[in-house]
Amino acid sequence: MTVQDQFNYRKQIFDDAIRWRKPDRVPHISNFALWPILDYGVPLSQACRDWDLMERVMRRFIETYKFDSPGFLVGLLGNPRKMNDTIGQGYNVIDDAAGTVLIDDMDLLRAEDYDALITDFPSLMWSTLLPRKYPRWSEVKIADMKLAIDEFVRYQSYMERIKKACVEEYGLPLIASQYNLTGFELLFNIFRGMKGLAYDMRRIPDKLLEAVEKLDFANGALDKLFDDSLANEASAFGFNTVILGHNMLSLTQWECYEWPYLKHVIDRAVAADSTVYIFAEGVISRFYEYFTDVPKGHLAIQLEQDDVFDFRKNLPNVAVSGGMTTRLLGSGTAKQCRDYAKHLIDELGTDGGFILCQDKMMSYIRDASPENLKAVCDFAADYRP
Amino acid sequence: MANFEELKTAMGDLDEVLVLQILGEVAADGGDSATEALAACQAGMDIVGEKYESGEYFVADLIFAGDLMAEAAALLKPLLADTETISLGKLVLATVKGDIHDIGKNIVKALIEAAGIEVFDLGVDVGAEAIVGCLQESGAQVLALSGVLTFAVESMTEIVAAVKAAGFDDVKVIVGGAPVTAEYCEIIGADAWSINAAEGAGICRDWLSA
Repeated sequence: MTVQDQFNYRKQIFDDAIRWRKPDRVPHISNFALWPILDYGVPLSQACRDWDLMERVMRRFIETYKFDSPGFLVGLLGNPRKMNDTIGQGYNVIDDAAGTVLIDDMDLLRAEDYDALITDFPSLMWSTLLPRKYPRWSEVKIADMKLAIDEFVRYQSYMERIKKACVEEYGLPLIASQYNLTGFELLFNIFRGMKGLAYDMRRIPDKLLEAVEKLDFANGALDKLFDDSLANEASAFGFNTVILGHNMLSLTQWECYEWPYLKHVIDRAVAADSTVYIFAEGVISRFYEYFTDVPKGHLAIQLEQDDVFDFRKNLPNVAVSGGMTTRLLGSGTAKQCRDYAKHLIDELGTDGGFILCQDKMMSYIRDASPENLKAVCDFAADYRP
Repeated sequence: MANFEELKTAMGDLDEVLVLQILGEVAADGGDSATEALAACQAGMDIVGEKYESGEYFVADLIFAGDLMAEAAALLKPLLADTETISLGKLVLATVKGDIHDIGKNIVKALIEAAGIEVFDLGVDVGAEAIVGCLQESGAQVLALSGVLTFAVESMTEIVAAVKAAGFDDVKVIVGGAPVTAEYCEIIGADAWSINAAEGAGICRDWLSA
């Protein structure tokens, strides 16, 4: 098969999976973040400052393990560390000895900033949020700022290069060809953080809701993301998004801040006969009831801590992605891993509706042994249920 | 005279304004009723726990509740005579070495303190040596270890081994956080595990009440 044939084949098996058609085989998505760097054998701090090295890391990972899509890996490996070195930042700490990156809860946005966010978000970003994120922002010399910008351009260039390589050299559809975060997730992951939002939901709930609506619906922001995503031929699915903030929300809060925006894109996908892929980090089972009315064939949810068999029982209308346990990949045998992958595919994937994926984002070196991972990847690529 | 039933309900409802208003009245009265006020806040936290169990509240509410309770305790502490602070027992709490996530730990801390347990919070990225030292100095009966990363499981295993090696066989150990499972609990050598802050706090309270 040519690379284009491989790309088309993979897009087809992803589409078959989410639309519940019997696929030629079950597709296999990577849910890896930092592990490929550690597997390559270089310190995280080195890889995060050298984009040529990072490209070699990515290519080796893609060529060795042969997933059907890098999943969200492409973006997660990227972090313009040298830019951060130049203008300062203190929100994440690389520990090369432990092989970890620890990220603090973000609090760039303060409660008193909501009015400015609602009125003029770009202005708030430049005047307030960036100086908070980068402590040396206001005093940085022009030469250093140029270095920072150059580094950011190199980072962006790497991102585009590796995405292009995935599609044009390896025939891999992308899941996250662009980042689509809803307003609440933007606040949760980037600007306000868990603790800040916990306070805002109690102290200024109306203001928070106004900000979320502004981020999602002002000037058709979410619709534009959806339209751009739909037009992206490199993507395996019509629209993708990642949610994490739901892990802190009660049902009432979910209904207010998160669900309306997810429902909006799901409804749009159904209307356009397209598909949505949601990576639900953490636990999503508390919210299954909200997805029961989604027409079959338009939605897939990638799980982390939720049980894939329980998901299938509760949501027979929604395709599920996940199942391959870190416990086995990290400390089982290759045979145990293959046997479990077969069990998952036979039980969940014979008639579509299933995508094989790891049950957590693989960042720590012992999350998977290379031999076990290779065994599962080879099996998934060959097995026809 | 402050209305302690109203204080209890306000704490349970996470009505910050009313809680602080009533505590202000307690202070303005000279603090003679600080013990009753603290008990009312603790009873209010029990309501928070019940609402969490019923699904009405979730993590965001526990974060807010924890901080509100901590603020209430800080306001009342200067008003309480030492003899009035009766502890159910002592507990050492930490996020383990290699992990700096502290939100879950802090929620657990607030719930445990609200249950009348004296907490020695060692913070984040804490290794075996500091924990063994704190157990020796504090005489705590319970050790609670928290972590979010998979890596944390290894740290927990090392810490529990060090605690046992130091002779603290009677110290009960509970582990919590996203990567923890029943299987990992056994590997770590802990006595209990939970990924639910309210449940974890309840286990600690039961141990110290027995």
